[in-house]
Amino acid sequence: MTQFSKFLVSIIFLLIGCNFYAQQEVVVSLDVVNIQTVKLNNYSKGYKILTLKDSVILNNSQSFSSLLRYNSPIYIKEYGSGGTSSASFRGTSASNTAVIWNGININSINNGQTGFNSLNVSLFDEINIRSGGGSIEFGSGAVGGTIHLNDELHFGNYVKNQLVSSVGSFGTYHNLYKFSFGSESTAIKLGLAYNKSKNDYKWLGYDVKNENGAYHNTDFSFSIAQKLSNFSKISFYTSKYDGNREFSGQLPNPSAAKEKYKDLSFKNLIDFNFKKNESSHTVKFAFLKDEYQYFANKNNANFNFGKSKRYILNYDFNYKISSNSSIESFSEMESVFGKTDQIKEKNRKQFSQSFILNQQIENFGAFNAKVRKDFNSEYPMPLVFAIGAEIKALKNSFLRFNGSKNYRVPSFNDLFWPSLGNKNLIPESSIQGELGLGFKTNHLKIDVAAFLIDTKDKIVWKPGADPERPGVWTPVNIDEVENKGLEFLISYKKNIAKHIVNFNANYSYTISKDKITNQLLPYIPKHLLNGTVGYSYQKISAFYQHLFNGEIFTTTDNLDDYSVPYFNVGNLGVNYNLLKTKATQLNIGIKINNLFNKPYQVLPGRPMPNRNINLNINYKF
Amino acid sequence: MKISKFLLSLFLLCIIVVSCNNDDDAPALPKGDYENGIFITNEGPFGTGSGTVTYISNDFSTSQNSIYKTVNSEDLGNILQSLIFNNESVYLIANVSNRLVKVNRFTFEKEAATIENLNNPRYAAVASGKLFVTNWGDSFDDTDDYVAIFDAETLVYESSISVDFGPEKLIVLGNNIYVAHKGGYGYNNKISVIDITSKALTKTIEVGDVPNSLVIDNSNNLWVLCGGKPYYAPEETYGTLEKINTSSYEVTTSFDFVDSHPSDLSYTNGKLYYQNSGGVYVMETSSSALPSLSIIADSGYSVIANDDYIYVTDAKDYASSGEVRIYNLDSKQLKISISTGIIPGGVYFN
Repeated sequence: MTQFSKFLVSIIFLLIGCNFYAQQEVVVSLDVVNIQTVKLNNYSKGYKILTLKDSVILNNSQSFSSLLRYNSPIYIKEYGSGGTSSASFRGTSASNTAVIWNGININSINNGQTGFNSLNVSLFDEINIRSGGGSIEFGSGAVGGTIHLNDELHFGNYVKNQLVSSVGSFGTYHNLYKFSFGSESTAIKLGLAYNKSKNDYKWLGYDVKNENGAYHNTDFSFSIAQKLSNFSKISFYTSKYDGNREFSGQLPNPSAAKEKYKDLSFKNLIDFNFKKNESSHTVKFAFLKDEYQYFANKNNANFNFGKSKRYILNYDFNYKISSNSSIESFSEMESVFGKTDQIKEKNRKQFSQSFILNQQIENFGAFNAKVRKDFNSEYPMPLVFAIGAEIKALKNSFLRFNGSKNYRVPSFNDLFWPSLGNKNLIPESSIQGELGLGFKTNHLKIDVAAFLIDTKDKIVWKPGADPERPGVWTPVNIDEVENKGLEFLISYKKNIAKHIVNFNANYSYTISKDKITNQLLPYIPKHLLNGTVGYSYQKISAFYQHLFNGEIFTTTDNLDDYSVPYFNVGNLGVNYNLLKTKATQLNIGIKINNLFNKPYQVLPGRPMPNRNINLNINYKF
Repeated sequence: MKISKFLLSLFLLCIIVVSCNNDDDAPALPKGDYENGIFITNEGPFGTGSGTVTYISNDFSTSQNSIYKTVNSEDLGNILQSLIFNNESVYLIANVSNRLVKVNRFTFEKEAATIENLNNPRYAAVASGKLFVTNWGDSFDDTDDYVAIFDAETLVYESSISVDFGPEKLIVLGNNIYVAHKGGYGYNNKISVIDITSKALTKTIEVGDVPNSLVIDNSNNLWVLCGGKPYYAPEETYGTLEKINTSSYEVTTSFDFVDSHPSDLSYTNGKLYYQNSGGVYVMETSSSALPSLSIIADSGYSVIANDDYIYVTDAKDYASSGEVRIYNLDSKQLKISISTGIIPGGVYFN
């Protein structure tokens, strides 16, 4: 590891020593208001970014969990279809995947994670998935990778409406409406979504069905941007999600399940940008409010709850040193208030300062160097850094590499849970590196990379961790984990006359080891493969998506008796274009999930849905 | 997997052959693979997955995990809380799955199962052909706790007796069932007395906080071990050991633990055993004070003394194979450690 980072450091110095005279690769256009994607690409040299466009998002409208399961290298641990769901990136834990909404980290302050079934993503225009650490400008938790949810806003002259409605098996309905408007100086976007499902599918091979699995949620989003002058603009984003889910049961008696979960998430962001000549200033203020209620029995009015409020003030200064290099400073102040039925309201204040250096080298490559230091009211914070570079080795191919130090702060539960929380916790931290090779033409994109993540002081709840309190579960900075593996991505697209064929696949091989016991971590598949083959001809298009999920262990001693076997599952979709003019487009589609009607379980005792059908209509006008 | 299955079949075949050979000498046929021995209930992993039963032969020479699944090709249910013997059957209680399963005591073949009228079931006792099962009900509700009564043969539900919150272990003596109210999601301090014939709650005896185990001695005294409220409770209290006269239903003797939370009272060969602060203690029923020294410096998820041995179960990290450490009560030395399923919670002697 140290040798590897030394190698990276020497490469970086080598690059700095070169002469720079090329144009900045990505020109930030003032017409695009939300420049998250542009920035992400600029600041992710040497990293892999996978972008899911709205068409892919709509083809996987069942849930965020299934969108990621079939289209990304992320392993999704889901307690039955629609249940509690968390993501593991490169074998790291659920709290090591940061979810970023329009540039703001939205992981829960109570448990440090994002619930992937308590988030509706169908209104987002684009989702970027960035593998690996080094997203230090997004703070805590960006260890395994980051998932960026972006609302796109741009100026211009247009009015667009989109209506998507689908009806499926087990009483499942997904509906959304999107409106966007643009003029030379104003851009507006509005979105509304409503989803509901009885989710009462029969459990294949058993006489019972999925009980207590129903859900419904509404999602509202609105964003607006106004050009103030040729140099400045202001924008505002708001989103409100209101979800209501039941947690389904497990074998052999699903009727024992009675739990219900309600959550409310309200996010707001105001962004003022001034850009003139070489300098750009951005001031952001975000207010995020989250609330959940957990009902042990849905028929009983009593519940547990958690609430949090976050205020974030961010000043971002970008200076173009030359036409091919820039430096950026991020200063952020955050104040977090959190409470649960167990924890009295606590406040955590944090200040952080980051610098990012961005450099292009013509006909050779680009690199970033980042450094961040946090100051926190609760615990000492490590200085973190990230470096990444991409070198165009030969025509169409490139070499990329990165190294970073990342951290994850203890959650409010870890720190403050009455009598059990541990106020002496420090952030867990990891050092990681990645080396990748890529090939890119207009038709074909291949990326293969090897990664290594070394985590120490990992926060885990362990029984008897405190020798004074045998048998009592308390959180401690104890585990040391090493994750290593390979990630492979291929994407191919070809037009032959009127036939269009495309193919995308992700494969990941992950070994996550507890360095103390030398056993594999539970709930991490060694092999994970997903892919989609698409074909379209004139008005008809079809796609087939497949997932191979390798065996997982559920015990820390890797017992075969308790492992969950590997499974294969495939979905088929067919779309037909009924109407297509310049202004309007009408598509109807059918999607058959679990095409081969194979029984499979992501977690033991929780069968996933059998074959089911979804009919959808997509009208753009 | 296939090779291990083959080996297992080979092994079973050997046992059959050996058993058949023995039959010539001993005319009594074994009633099943698990006729003599010890059952360990393993709660199983949290959140998802099933509890299991481990079988250990009486001489500790062989053991087998997941015997219910091996015999019946199905899972028992989430969090296997306890089991109880009656005639030729064993009753198993899966807590989160709200499931009660009856199997043959010797073969472990499933005979009946029910999910009716169970809500957070904990422990069971058998009396007059009826099975009495304690239930916590919902976590938020202190008023919905009950003892459910089933026909012990068919597992058909008959009726319920509403009781104070958190009914846990229970024990039969004469025409009474004594139910310890450990408190479930909270902390309670009562023993309910249920009349078996009338199936009615007849008395409530107040004891120390959190009565976690109870035994009956040879003189028909009821001994109740109370752990006290843990340190993370709003107000911590310490343990007590109380002796109750089952004729007058009164606490006749009470011993206070200073600064500790004892648990797992068991009774064998006329003596009381329990664990406290990392050690196993023994006490004569006639003793006028609590013992000051432990006999074995070990403790675990549960501890039970039976005849010549004491069994200490260890749940390790609660997410991997546990083990049971078996100590010889004479020599106080560790006899053997045997691997179990996940979170071994109870030890039962067939």
